[in-house]
Amino acid sequence: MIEIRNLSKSFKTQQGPLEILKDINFQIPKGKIIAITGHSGSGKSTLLSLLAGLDKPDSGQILIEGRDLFAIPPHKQNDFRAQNISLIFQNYYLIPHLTALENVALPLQILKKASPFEEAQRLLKEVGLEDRMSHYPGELSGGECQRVSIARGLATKPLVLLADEPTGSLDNETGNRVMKLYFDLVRKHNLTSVIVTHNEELAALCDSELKLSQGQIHK
Amino acid sequence: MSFLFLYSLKRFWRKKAQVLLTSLFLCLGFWGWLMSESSQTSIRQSLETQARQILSADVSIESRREFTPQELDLIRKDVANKGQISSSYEFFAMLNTPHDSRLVLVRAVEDTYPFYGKLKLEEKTPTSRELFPLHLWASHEFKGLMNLKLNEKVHLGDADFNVSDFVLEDPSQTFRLANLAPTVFIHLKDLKKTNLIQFGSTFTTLRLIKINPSTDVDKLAQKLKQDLKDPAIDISTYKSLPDEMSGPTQRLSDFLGLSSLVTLLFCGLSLFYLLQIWSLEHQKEKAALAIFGLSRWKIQAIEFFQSVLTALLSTILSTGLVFLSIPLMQNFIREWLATHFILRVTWHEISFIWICQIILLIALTFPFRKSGTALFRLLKDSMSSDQSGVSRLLPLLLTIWPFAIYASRSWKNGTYFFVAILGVCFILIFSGWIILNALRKIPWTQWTLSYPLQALSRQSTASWAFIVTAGICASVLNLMPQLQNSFDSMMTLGSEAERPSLFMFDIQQEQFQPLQKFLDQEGFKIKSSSPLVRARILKINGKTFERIEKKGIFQTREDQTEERFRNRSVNLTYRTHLTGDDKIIEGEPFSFTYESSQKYPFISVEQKYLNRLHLHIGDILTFDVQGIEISAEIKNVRSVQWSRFDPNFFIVFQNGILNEAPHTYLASTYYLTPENKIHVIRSVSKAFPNISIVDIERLIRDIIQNLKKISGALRLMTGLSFLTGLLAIVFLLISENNRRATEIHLLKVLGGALKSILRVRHLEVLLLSSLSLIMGLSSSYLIAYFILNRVFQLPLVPEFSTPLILAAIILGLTYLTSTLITFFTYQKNSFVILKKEE
Repeated sequence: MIEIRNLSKSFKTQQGPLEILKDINFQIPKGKIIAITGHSGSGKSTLLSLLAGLDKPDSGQILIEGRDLFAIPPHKQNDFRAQNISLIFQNYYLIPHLTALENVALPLQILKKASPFEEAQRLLKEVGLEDRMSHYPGELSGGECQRVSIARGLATKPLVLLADEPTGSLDNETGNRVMKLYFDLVRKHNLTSVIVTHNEELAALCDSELKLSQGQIHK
Repeated sequence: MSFLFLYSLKRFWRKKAQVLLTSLFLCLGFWGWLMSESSQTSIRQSLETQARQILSADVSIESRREFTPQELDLIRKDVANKGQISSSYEFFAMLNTPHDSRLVLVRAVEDTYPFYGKLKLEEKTPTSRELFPLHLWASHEFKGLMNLKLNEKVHLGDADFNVSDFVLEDPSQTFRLANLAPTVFIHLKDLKKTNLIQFGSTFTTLRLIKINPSTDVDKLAQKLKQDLKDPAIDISTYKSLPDEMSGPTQRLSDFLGLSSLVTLLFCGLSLFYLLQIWSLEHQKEKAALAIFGLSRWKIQAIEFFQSVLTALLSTILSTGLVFLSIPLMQNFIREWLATHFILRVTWHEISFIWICQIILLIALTFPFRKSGTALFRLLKDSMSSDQSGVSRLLPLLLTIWPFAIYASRSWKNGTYFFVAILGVCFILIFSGWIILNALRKIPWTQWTLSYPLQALSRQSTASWAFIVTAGICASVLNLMPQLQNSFDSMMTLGSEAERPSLFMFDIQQEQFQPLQKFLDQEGFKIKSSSPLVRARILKINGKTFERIEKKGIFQTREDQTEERFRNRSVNLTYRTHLTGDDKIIEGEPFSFTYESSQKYPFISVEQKYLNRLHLHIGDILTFDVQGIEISAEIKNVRSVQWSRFDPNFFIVFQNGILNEAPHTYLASTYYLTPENKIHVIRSVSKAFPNISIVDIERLIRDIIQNLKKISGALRLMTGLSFLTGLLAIVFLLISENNRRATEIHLLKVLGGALKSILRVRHLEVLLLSSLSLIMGLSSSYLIAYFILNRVFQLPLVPEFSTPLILAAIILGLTYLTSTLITFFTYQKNSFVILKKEE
């Protein structure tokens, strides 16, 4: 379960501090997929960045399975994040000089997990890319890249899978196919997932939708 | 067009920080270049101003033999009523005073000497030109050197002269680096009385011409050159003199030109990588313009306007910097080089620098040739950073070639420099390919080892670009100290005991045995002696050997050297064996005694002489030896160690051909103590007044002193190159680390700890730097060997402390920059950065 308590975040601007998130509170039960929607500049990406533990709030807490993400000592934060939170980007961010297999195995190698390549092979089979394992990102289509990215996100068996506009670079048909796979896998692995999207159709497929507007959450 | 120009202007203003930084780098690179250009122009202007005074005339015709009556007729006919002719002779002789004996340069002149300039005399008014019979004017330095006094009697050859004045200033004296002897003036009418011009004597006879104001000096010189075809006759005008006279200073200037070129190369490389840092943003802007429908040529036009404006700013900055540094440089020239020309910068040079900078900027941002798909990917794909492949360096390297030729004023040296740089590139690419491929095959289990090796071997273009650039920097940085060390070693001439102390020339045939006997009696011995036969080359392989005239806008050093070498007569010798230091480097050795069965007698030719006259083994040379034609075949090529200062010759004949030809002797003594030296000079010049004696030790001392001055200038330029080279490496490292910033963020998002990412980055850049250093530094020894061997015919004397210091500095910089950049990148919010990249 993810619990967000009194979360606030502001940025300094030339005109003074700009409040992006104002005292936000919500919960995501384990195994649920929620969509966060909102206009550009509403604070969706800031919220996702805080959920990923890559930024710090001005105040408030994010509890993942009861552990306060920002109370973890700095030297352990990275390990915690690597083991429990995965990110999927609109532009996939695959490493161009690594093959699909090596891209998926990389987070496992970083965490020093046993048999990273066998696990990566299994995951690529799961996303239907068993015949594309030795291909480099430049040799894959957008949909295939995003499937590799999903497999990489699942590799470390995280508690939380965060996705930022996962269909933003894909056409409708491919986007739908990729997201069907995404939902299947998240449910199969019983992960908690947050998807930031503008896509109303995609948001409707999620278990619930949170709308961000003027720094506040509207259900 | 107006939209393009306005867009460029707006862009120029909006990107002012980038423009300013680019201009500063260009300014740094071209500052050295402009200083070097300015020195060359100033030397030339200074010489042109002085040329009439140096020649003492408008036109000077000189020969190292007497003019024939036909030649004199032709001169008189050509000049006719266009001007006045005056005769003079110049030669070396021993001047005996009541106190000492010394080698002097004797100038026997007529009343009309000099046509231009004035001899400033100590006693008489500066307008006086009268030299009374058997009177002599001595250079002012004699007062100190030989304690010579006014109205003292001195002996010159067989005649006694009265010292009637001292010359304080002689406008015909130039800033030659090594003067052999001070000058004395006598009247031409007294020359015969000295009996110093004998058969085989070394002398120069001159005809000085002062032209009327309406006469075209170039046309007259051309007519004279057409009529006097013998290459032994040299014709100079006040316009052509600067090319001929400023040899040593020009060579120094050329080397400074090459050093400034190295600095320019480093600045170009720095700028290349600085532009790489901004490249993605820049490429995306260009991609957006292309997608909005702007043609490739219009995008190039924006690029061109941008380059013109940036180059203009940089030209203004470099010109300002030059004006600020001129007083310092002027001081340096006065203190170190002891010359007096005034540094100036002309509008022509400033405009030229502007054009060069535009060319360089265009080369650095060379063609935008991405297809529509590639453009779209560039705008869309965040991980496709604009990779800096080796090929992108090619326009920069190709631009350096004409710059190198221009800077060195030498096709050969400029091309050697360019070929050396390309050679280093080839070595670096080839060895990098082998090593990276070998590393790729090692099955590392730890990701911090496998990841960097995969990154390096699979992104090979980027890796090679780094290896090549850093390798070139390391190589050129180490090249200059290696060249300098070899030059320094050349200046170390071994122990004094190995060197000759005195050089004696103009020894008549009948004097040689008595001289040997005389020296034996005095307790001294001749170290080496050679017969000297004066000759002229008439034909090469049956074709008449005539003077060549290569005049154009751009005359290279090779043209000038070839012209000088062709225009001189030649001294021949014959030997029964090669001297100790001569080495046959090409062709067959031959028996040193002529056999009647041979079709032609054999000759051995010195390597540089052979190359400069474009001769080959097997060529038949026909000489005019005192009116007799002798043909000989080039059988081999010799290398001669001139720095030993033993008498040697460009052309050596087999024994038995020239023995009967009229000749003089050239001899050297073993090392003599200062007292013995004075004793030998005095006693020989008394017993044999026509024999000239040169104090070779003094000459060597002068040469070493001047070489050290040049070495000081080289050190200054080497230091400047070194600093700019290091700057280039720092920018290269920053660019390389920035290129990988997105990857650092991604590794962080995937769970990579700072420690692990640092380890990855350190391994990557240290591996790249080490490869570049090993290959670059090793190749610098090859280049140094190549340049020293081909250009200077000197052996390489390697020096190892500089590369070690260089390696430590570069590895330290590599470690520091990668640590700092990775650390600061890691501290940023990776999500925000990655999101922005989208």
